[in-house]
Amino acid sequence: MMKPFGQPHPDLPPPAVLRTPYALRQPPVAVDPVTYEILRHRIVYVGLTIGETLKKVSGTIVTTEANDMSTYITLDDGAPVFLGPYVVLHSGIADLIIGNVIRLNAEDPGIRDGDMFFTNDPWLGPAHQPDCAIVAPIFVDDRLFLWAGVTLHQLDMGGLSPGGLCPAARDAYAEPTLYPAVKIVENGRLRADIDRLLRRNSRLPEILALDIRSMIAGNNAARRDLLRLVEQYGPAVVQSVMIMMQQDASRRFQARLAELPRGRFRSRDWYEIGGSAPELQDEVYEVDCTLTNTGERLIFDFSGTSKQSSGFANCGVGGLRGGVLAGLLEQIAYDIAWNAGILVHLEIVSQAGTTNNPNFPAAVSDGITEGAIATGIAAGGAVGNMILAHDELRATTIGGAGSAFLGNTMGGLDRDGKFWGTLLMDAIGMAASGKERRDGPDVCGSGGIPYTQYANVETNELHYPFLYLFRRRGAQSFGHGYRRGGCALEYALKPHKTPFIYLLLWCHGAEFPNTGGMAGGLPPSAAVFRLARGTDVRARFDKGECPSEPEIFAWEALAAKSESYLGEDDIIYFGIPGGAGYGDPLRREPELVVADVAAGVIRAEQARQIYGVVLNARSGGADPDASAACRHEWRQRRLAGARWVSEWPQLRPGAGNNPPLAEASQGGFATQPGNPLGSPSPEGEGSAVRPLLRLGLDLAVARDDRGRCFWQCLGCGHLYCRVEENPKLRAKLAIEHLRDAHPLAQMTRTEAPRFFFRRFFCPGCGAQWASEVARASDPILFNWEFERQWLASLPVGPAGSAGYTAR
Amino acid sequence: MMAARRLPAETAYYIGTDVGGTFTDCVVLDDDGRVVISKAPSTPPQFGEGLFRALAQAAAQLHLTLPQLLARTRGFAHGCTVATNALINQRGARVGLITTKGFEDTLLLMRGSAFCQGLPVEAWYHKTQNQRPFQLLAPPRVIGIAERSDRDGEEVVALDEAALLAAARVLLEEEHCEALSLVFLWACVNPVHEQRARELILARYPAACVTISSEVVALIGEYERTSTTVLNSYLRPEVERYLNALTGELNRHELRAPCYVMQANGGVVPAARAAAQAVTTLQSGPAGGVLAAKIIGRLLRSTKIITGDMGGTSFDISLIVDGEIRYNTRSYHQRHVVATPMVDVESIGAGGGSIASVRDGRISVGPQSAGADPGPVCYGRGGTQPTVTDANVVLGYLNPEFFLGGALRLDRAAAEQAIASQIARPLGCSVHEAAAGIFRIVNAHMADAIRYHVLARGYDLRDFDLYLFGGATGVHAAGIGAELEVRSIVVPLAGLATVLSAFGIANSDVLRVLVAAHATAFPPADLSATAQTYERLEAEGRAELAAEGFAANRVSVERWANLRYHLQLTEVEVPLPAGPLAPRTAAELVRRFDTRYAELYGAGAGFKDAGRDLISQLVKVRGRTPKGRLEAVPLDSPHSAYARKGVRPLHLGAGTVVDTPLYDGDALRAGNVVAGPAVLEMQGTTVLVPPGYQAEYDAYRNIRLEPAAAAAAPES
Repeated sequence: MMKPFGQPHPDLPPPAVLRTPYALRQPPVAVDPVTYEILRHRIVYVGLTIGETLKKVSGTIVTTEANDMSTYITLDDGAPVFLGPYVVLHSGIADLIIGNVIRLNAEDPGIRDGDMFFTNDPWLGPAHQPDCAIVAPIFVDDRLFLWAGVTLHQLDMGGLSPGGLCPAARDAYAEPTLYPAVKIVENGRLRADIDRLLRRNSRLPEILALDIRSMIAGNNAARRDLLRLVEQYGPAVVQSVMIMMQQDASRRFQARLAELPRGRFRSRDWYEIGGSAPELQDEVYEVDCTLTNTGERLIFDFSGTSKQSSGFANCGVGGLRGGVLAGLLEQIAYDIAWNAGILVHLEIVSQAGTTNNPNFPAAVSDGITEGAIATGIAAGGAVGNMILAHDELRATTIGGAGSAFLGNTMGGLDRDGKFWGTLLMDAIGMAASGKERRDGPDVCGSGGIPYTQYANVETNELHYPFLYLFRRRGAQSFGHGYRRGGCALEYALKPHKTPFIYLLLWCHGAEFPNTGGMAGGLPPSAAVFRLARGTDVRARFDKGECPSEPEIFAWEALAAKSESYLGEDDIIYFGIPGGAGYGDPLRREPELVVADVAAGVIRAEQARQIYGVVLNARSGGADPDASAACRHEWRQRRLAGARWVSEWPQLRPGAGNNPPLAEASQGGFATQPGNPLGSPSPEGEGSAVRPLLRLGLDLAVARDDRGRCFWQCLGCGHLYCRVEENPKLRAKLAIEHLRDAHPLAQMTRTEAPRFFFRRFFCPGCGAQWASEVARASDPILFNWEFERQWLASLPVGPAGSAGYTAR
Repeated sequence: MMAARRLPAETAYYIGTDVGGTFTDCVVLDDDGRVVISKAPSTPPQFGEGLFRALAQAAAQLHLTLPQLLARTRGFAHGCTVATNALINQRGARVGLITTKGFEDTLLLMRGSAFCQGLPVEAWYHKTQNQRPFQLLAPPRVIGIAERSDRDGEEVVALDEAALLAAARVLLEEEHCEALSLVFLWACVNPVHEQRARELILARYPAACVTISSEVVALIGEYERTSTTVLNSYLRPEVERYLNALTGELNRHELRAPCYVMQANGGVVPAARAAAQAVTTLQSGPAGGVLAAKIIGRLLRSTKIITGDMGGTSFDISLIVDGEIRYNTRSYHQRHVVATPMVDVESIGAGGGSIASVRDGRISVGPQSAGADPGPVCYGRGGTQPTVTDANVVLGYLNPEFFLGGALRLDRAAAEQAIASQIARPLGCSVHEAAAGIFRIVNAHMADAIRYHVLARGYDLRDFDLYLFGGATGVHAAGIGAELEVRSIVVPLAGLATVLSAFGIANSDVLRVLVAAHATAFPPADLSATAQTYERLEAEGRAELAAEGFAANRVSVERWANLRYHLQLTEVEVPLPAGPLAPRTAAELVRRFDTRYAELYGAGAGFKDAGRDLISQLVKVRGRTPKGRLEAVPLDSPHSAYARKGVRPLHLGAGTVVDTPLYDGDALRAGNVVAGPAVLEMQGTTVLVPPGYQAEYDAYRNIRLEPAAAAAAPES
């Protein structure tokens, strides 16, 4: 049976709308433009000073190297004025945390000047318990005036497993201790009792103590600087400038929304395995996202998302909010100040009891890497589908969906017998997907974390007893396309001068790639975890070899959530999924394919098989005639091998609950005799259509002289169907194993695959313009459902030319 | 500026030269504290031409020929921008890199930060629109070979000598590389493989230009070490060619003293050594300015100084703390990281060329800059967007007829027109209000950057004196200072403000910093290995300076240790107590580290229970060079009216137009006081004294700007 997309669970309370509890205010006094600019700049610098102060005082790897933190300044109601450029997953929750701190403490014990509040409670903001926030109210003339705050990932807050990500947990009671918005600083002093309580519940009390002090120092720096500003300019002017900053962001964000297509845009993501219990091994969780752009607001509807897990793979509601922002801000708001002015335009629809909005006391300790990242990928994918129709945004931004985070806990005994433990942040070495005018960059870091930096090999080897065999671009990690994805990091290491290393993986996406290719691009690799046992690596060292070719060793693939012990002759390999491809690989310019071969990015046989480019044996250049013939042949073979959607038994039309299908049926459109779904639509044939809008390279929306809009192939002019209907249902479809799309796209459960790769071709010319990774029973997603009035408002281009370049 | 009247034959001169992107500056001092300055346009890429023009000018001021001047020169120090220029224009050498197999991508991947590294924090938000920095070398010119050591410096895999030579052959003969870098993992702790590899390559290719990482920067962290080493290779041939030509030419012109070259660490090295350390000549100009501030600070007994240098496109900030320059082991050059210690200079996009614009009714200034070309609208070189300099002209602060001493006539009407149409009209205000707004905003931005720089490093603004120099700064000095709670505002060495870097360069010593990287808990049970390392480094450094002709009594040595708390990454450099390294000195060193850490980052910020790691041992060997001296002159009366040279209407905010007296700033003498509003015009710069402020010339002709009320108040 088809698993419906986007449908609420009937047995859970209906979906609720989460929106900011505040609206933008009017500035109390008028501020001239020069004073505004002076103060705006100053406030941003105050915000940046918080992060710098934090880093100086803490100095731990988490803050100094990985920037795994966030900083914020908000108005008295929690409406952000400034969000630091660090981990968006954290900073997106500033207003949630402050709102809850106010709600819980206003009466008793009260919120007073000189107080600060601590929380790590995922039902009050953070995505999971290791993310700790301290927020400070700032008073002026005995009135609550502003808040400053910091969220910081902690290395240990207790719970079943060191590090606090607890695969064996079945509820939050087995996870790091929850602190629901407690007063940690009173009258300017750190409360000794709370400090004691926190330390007592951590395996690394000294580091926790240090980080708490650094967070307090960061807030104190903000308080000092903001109060100085108030002293200099008066509270009314400072507040007015802050509100104007929000208004500016709001105006610019709304202008951005207005230039984007209006309608509904869909995407989804999955993650496998709910925890270490045997019955959680087969679990797959789905995050559905339907994004609506009304032109004024963006509504992210997560209806259809799986029910909460009975393992640790849920995330707090802050992860839901943070995930949305991580998928959104860098893609369309990179040039707008991140503050409440953007947030007031967002609505999130979600059902309590689902995996990214779980009910207490669900286990949530893996929240940031599971629910939150999957939310980010689903939301980012929906945003990606929206901007696919925007000529500039689809072309260059390197933001986008991101990929699974290769979460890991490693530990053991060092050469001096001391316990060590860490999270190897190399996992941040992610890559980006291809965009229309730019191949995805290699190893540019995660989406939603602007500045990412992993530690040097030497720094890691200095601190921990292992030896890397290699660390480099994973040459096979990317997805192919007209613009290919970037290569992500691959690395392998072995214990060194230690008898063993314990390794806990808390990741997902080993069974399937989380990043789908846009506009017909191919997916990248899955997350690759491989273990080679009892190798001859030390003998090879002695012989003078650096064995850096993975094929030397015999590997077993590890599940994304698993536990292992490594001995001195064992090697663990990590391969981060690369970026996905964009557009049909058969469209890539032959000279770029030749350059890729020359640079060793692809092999000559891949040039032919994937890109349809035949190399001239002598010159090494592309043979134009042979390549054209090859590409033609590939397209013919695609069509010969593909079927209409209706011909795939598992995809019977109408099965499940695919809303676009249902709508089309209601219009009587799909049920006409001789026009079954999943076959060519005769409607529109012979009408003169003119292009309106291009989505990717091959798909366009065109309008006829009666004002009807159709999906059209740009390459051959083939009309799929009316724009109200899902064009994928009118395409030729091939369903393949994931490993046909990418040899590393499936690392586990290969004997009984659950996920497959779907390619959608133009029935006329064989162009590949969409693809999906999905389970056999998942409905074909209608990614772009435009608002009628919006389409009607678009001017048509002259026939055959238009605002896009047909190729 | 004073020209010498008498010239006894034995007068000895000390010359500092600073070749910048736009101007080449020259400062000549003598034993009696006399100073001559000259300036000539720089002549890239043949920088020598401009340099010799500036030198000849200085000689002429002394009524000497250039050979006469150079023959009597006992100290010649040179700051060059050749490396910076080659990097900006991407005209460095074709470099090949040989590294440990399996780690060939280290440089390319930049630890995952390629899209933000080296950009200001504000630019992180639009990472998705950013680009990578240009690549210093492409993958075919990186070859990995088998060899490996571990953190203890123990060999894990032997050096594959055949593969090494094969790689060298490919890079030199097939790829035609002009310079090679060798970077092996853990070479910072055990350099044997790198040294052996270089030996093998030089035996086969004696002319090869080879840089090994353990000599450029013996620092743990292969990415930063690779970047620094490859940059060194990239710049080395160009710097070598330039310095060879320069020293040849100087010798032909009778210079007998050694030619020293300024480095970004604030010291100089003999020209013959400089090319091998080419990367350290990056940013040596700004280092010269900071060094000058340090020297002046010592004269004025000021130990905490903020330096600010405003040029055409950027504003450079640095700190002097407890009389010492602050260093940074991570600096960014065209966004490439360099890990050799350099003067900690932060550059923000605010300068005379910063462009003002209005969008959605909001005005902003910078960071985009019109630079020197086309430059501000008033330059009349095709600039169309109004800049800070245009605002200064419109407000009357700058004299259109006397810009750069009259070298460039400014078009005030064009500046006014641009501000009127692009700023005033959209904002609905007058052109003078708009210009005053631009002026206020850029001042506030520079003040914000200073405040951030100071606070982020853990210091308190109120402890600092603010020294502002550079051609464009004088007009803004009081405006910047007014935003900050600093102790005082000083425009150092009036008349030299625009050549301060050259002055600093002329006054620098030879500095050799020898480093041994480590990875050990400190103090170790047995101190002997650590002690031996200090002895070895010191002996090496002393031998080097002796070879350069320094008598032992001109050489001083300091031993430092770079420590951090285990599990924390912030390193702090502390000096060793005198005497041999023994348990007691080690304990004292730990105490100094704890104290310093607490001073910088707050009490309790150090994770003491985790223990301390020794990250590197440093030996700083200084060779005192001969140099001229600044002498205090007796103070004259406060009377200053004699230097008045006219009146100009100035727009001093809030629609106030004041007929403001102009002074010949070069004629004013020590002790003179000028009450604001006033404008002091000098050859290279203009200082604005706003209403309520006064300018006082001290015994070294530093201009001290202070609120008139504060100045009048009795000392407390």
